[in-house]
Amino acid sequence: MLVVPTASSDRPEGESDHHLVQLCLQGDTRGFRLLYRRHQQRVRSILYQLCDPSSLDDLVQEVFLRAWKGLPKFRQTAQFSTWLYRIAWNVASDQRRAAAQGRTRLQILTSQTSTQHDDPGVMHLHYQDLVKRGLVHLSFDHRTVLVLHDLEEVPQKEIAEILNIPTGTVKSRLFHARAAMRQFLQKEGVQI
Amino acid sequence: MSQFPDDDHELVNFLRQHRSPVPPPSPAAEDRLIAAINALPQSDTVVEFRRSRRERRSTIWLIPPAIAAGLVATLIGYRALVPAKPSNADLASLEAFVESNWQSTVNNTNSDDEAPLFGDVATN
Repeated sequence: MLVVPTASSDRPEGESDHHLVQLCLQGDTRGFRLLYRRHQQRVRSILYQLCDPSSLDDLVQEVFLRAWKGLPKFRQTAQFSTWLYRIAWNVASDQRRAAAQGRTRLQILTSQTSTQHDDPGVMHLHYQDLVKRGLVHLSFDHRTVLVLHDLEEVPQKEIAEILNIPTGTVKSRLFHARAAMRQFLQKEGVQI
Repeated sequence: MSQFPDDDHELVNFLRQHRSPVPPPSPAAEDRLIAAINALPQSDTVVEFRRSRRERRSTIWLIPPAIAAGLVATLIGYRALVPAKPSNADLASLEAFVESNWQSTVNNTNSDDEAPLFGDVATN
């Protein structure tokens, strides 16, 4: 018997991404709904670390819209998540270019920190601000690798696939990104 | 080749511990996405996927006739370019022609070659 899922009743969690992609290719948006639910948190988190947080919802939607449109070109041998994170990175790059003409990073930071006044620990809040500023301080390439590897725990091999660069380059960028971040923190008086 | 250390536990732990929390998505985000997908003209994904599959299939059907046509063209070309085997009479007349041609060439060379050369030497 065919079970038609609704917004409240999902398909079983065991269904693979590839099976859901096949459903999407037959025009089944319910399969895409499940793919969205499965991956949106990670995509959201990556975009949050790389982009202007004020337009986060729009950016996440842009990633999944591009994914839907690009599904026919998706190689079935590749991992769906890797492909999706690559789209997220492309969206982040595009947004970064557009944002360069708009609001400054400092304005973004100011608005961000001012909305987090309900956090209990002052030091924790201070460190959060430092980490955020430290990430902004890095080059986009270094920041991307640091976010994907150290914050999102994406393996180096997968990062290499997402960014289409050799694994050695990922290692090198990670090394330099960490060094720059450590130096920034030390300058701000944080000894790790 | 330079080696980069894989782990920097203290720094990584610090970053993870103090990363800013990601704000939750708007409750309507999922429905907005699906509505945006449904608003796409006749669901781009399905149309394009079917078109590409149809194109791939139509291309595959072209391969066997193309191979057959290639073989026929090769055969015809080979027959046209390779000359037919000459008959015995043709071979005999060709042989006779070559032989008479050779004889006349050899005879002419013997008489003509020496005269001008030695003629010049003698005048000096």
